[in-house]
Amino acid sequence: MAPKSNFSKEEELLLQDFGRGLSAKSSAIFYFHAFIVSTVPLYLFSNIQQMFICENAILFGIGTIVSMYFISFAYKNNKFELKHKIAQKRGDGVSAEIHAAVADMDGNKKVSKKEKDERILWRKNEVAEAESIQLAVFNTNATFLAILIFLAFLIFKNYAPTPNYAISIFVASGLTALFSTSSQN
Amino acid sequence: MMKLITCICVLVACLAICQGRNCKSPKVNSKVYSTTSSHLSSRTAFVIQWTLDCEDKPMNVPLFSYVDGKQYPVAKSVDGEYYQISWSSEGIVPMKTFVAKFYDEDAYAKKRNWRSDSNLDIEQPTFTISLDHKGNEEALPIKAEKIALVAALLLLYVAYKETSDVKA
Repeated sequence: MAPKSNFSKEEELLLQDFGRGLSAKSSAIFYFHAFIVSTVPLYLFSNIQQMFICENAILFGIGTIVSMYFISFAYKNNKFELKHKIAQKRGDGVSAEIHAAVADMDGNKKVSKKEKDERILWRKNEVAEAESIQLAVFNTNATFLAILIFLAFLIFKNYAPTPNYAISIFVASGLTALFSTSSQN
Repeated sequence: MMKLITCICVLVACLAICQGRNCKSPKVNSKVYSTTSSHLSSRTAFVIQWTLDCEDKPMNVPLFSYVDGKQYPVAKSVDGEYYQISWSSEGIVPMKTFVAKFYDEDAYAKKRNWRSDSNLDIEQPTFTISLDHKGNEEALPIKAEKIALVAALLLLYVAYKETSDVKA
């Protein structure tokens, strides 16, 4: 028989909001952005290195999928790191916003402190979620593209296009994922 | 008697082979290419490709090519239909017409033996092909990939600064 969870419903919701798990919407956003940024090297290599997409379809497909996996992994890590910090920073502003909104409401309806706290927590989570997603995507994309351009057009520029693409995309996405695992305590 | 006939046959065969390696009344159908965009390339490439039709349809005509006094090897396609020469120059090449001169064996021998003070006719190529190079487009003083790298590093710095402000 499975052990009973020791957390209350509110605590479980809190863990869900601030845990590493992603909602369906967040996952969709991350995979979409990962796909877009993973296909940018295809444009670079097909136009500059003259690699035909049809002839190199298998390599491009594998590179794009592997890159998408690593980049979405990096998105998830960065978002988790940033969400806590953003929630702390935006706490005061969100509280003021909720208090102002409650004060504007109809005077007859009194809002309990518990409900006010829940609203503040919900709003804080919403703001932190949106901002952490955007910042994580921006940070990860900038890191990936900088490493990719450095490797593809400076370090490996004298290599044949095929190994150049393979090494650049795997190393760039791998390093991006690796850097995202670091944390500042 | 048999020896004499054999010798005559060998001599006639040699003459036939020698006669078949020159091109009379050549008709050339050519395509030319030169690099015009220098944004993404550091060298200027030139390619001349042609088909050759000679009057007596000789087989395997060896050709020798000269462009601006330099000799370039003449490549032939596997099916024997196309000939090609190519060369490249460092950097940007201004607008110019290159005249590629081609020699068959006889003409090449005359060219090698020709001297300005000799009584021989001036060296005459078997045929020539002109390549009009229209010049390269103006390139930026800094390479495109370096500009892209600087832009990417600036973006990375902005992203890092934003993240640091949040984590602080």
